[in-house]
Amino acid sequence: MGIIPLALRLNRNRNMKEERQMKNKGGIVVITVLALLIGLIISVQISTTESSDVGGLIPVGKLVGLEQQLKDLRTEKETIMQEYLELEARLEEIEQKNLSENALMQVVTQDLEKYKMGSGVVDVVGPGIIVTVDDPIPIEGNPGDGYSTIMVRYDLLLSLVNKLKDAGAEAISINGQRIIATTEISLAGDNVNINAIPTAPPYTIKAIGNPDTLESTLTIRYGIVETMRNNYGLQVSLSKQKELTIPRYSGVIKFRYAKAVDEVTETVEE
Amino acid sequence: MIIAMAIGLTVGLVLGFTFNITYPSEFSFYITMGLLAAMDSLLGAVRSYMEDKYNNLIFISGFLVNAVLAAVLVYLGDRLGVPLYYAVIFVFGGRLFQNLAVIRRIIIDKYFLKKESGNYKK
Repeated sequence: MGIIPLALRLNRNRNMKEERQMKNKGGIVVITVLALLIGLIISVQISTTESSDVGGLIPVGKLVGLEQQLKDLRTEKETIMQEYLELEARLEEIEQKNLSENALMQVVTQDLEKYKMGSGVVDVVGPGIIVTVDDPIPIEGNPGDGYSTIMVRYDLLLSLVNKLKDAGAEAISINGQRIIATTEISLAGDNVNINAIPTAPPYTIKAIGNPDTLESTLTIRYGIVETMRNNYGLQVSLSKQKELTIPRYSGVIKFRYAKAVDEVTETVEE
Repeated sequence: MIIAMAIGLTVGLVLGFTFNITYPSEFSFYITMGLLAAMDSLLGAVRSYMEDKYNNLIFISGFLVNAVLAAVLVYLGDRLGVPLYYAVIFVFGGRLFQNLAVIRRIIIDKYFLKKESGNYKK
């Protein structure tokens, strides 16, 4: 490359530069505004994705579909529950009507009430205690392994329920799930299932019975509450209540295999 | 040019974070695609500026049309159940890299040209 052409080229470059600067004053403004806009969009996008647990790259249609499905199922559940409650109310009405007509019916209905309460299909109210169990607060020395202590050691919950029954609790519920004869408390995947309903901490255990007896049974030295607090670091709090309501069992009690043996009951009665 | 871009981006980011604006997550996909198109336009502008072919009208119209087309493709794909947004990602993503490659070449060329002229001056 010779000197003259290079100088020419440099000269031309300089000329073009000046020309360009003249021409593109407006361009720089436009580009700045656009870059500002892009920065704005990026930051808004980031704060939006952070605030919602839905990631940025899930097709909207899929999301909407699933949402709709969930809503439909919820509505369906509501309707069925409503229907169930209505039918139950009708049954009660019929029973009430028969009650006045028949003295025998009166006794039977009283019995029925008692058994219903025993099997946990009616809401009950009375004095008792509320126990709250939550996972240990993560501290610097022990940040935890990401698992919920109380969910992994769900047998502590079972043990607690057992102790409450031991202390004469007449009705128990955990997070609104009534404990009945068939109730399970078991770890299933990431949840502890109670009455086949997934639950998660904090656990609120309500029990109806003599509040003092219930409390002292739980807080006895080396008892269940102490074990939970000292061995597992769980946050446990107890409060005695003058009146608390325990919800009914909302599932369906079905017997597919077990059948009542009529003859035996008769012989026992004889 | 590049300084102006950087300033714009920073100011935009700061503004967005301080006001903490959010929008319904249904639109998140459209915005992402629009963003991709806008970024492509911006890099394209830098490239054309360096090639001395920059034109305001072409740039602005390209920016708008690209962003709108991206949004339309996403919407259409949503409606048809075909992931048409892949087209947007591939085209604009590919062009981003292509533009960047051209910009890099131009910068390197300029650098060597300067060096050469420096040598001649000695």
